[in-house]
Amino acid sequence: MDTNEKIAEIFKIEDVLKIVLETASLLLKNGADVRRVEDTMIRICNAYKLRNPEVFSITSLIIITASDMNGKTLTQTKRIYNSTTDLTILERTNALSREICKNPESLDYVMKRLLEIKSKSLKTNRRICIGNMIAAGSFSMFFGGNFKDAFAAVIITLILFFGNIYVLKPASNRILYTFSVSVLMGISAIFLVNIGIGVHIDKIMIGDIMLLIPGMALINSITDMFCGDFVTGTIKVTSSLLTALSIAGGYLFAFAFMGGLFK
Amino acid sequence: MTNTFAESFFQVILAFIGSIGFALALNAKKSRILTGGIGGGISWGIYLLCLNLTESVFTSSIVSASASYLYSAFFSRIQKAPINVFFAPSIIPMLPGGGLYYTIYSLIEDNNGNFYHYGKETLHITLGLVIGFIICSVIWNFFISLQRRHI
Repeated sequence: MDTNEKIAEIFKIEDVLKIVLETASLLLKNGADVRRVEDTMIRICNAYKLRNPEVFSITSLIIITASDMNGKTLTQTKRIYNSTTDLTILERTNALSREICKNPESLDYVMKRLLEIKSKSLKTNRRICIGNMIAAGSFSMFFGGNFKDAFAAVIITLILFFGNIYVLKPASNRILYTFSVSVLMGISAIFLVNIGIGVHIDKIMIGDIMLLIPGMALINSITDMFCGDFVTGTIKVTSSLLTALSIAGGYLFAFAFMGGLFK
Repeated sequence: MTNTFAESFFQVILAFIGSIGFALALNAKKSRILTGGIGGGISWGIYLLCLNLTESVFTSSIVSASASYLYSAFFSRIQKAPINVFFAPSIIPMLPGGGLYYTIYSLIEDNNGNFYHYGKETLHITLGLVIGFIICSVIWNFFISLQRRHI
């Protein structure tokens, strides 16, 4: 019996597909692009000696069909709901998939490792909060503000952060979320300038706009389109344009609201 | 659009710190945070240099996006990590946050001249970044596929 047959006998196709989908969804949820996800899925299928792997993925759905040595064919799908970029999970999952492509480990072990990656993320609220504060402060100075403006931008990030955890997280609609966050940011920036913390409204707001701007998604999506993946490209372009529009709408709303109150 | 040297240096330092902040917020590994920050600093430095030489926002965006892509591709090849881990923090300083804000603001003020000016600038920067990214990623992937065929 050669190794190919051995591998086909040990690993059942249902379980292999489950592993493949789990890995792919972790990658897709945490900021990998679609071409890379599809590539990884095919590699894992080949490592576990599945025949004719056919994969298709867009940002919210993964489909895979493959057959085993006996000709049994199976299709499984996975729906992706909300995605947040987490570079640590992305990197660890990628390392794991490289490892199992080199030598196929037992499926229980792989599943255990995947769960471990998911649960042992470094992502703590404190870390993210500090990161956002550093970014907002330095970018408001980067665009020409002074120390007072940076301080105001940092305070707004704090307000946002607590609002984000306690108020906005339950409503997990991305567009609605961006809109309400921009309204909140605009109102607090104008308020802070009016009570004397911070000098330039524009610099403070630009520092905070950098936290919301969907630049990476826009660049990725247009690249997807140029590489021939029109479905994913269109979805992402639409979502990032809508995000930009909702930032604009939120600021407009804030200006209209606070302009009536203060000027 | 010419900056003094001290101003430019200050901006590069701030771009470095800001990129570090973003690497933290995107939850990068500890060893990747410094790499992302240096990438942000380098690409903003190249942007400013190019802006001083050509005075064109569009060209500078193409060049700096290419530089930042090549930087991240190089590190991702060496350290065997996905390219987005390095690219996401280092592209941040080039994103047109200021342009977007002033475009919105001139829309509110009903200032057509400014709206046209800032809107055009924002569009130029975005298109420049995309074009630089596409050119480099196509070339880089082509070379990698060549290398694979030889092995």
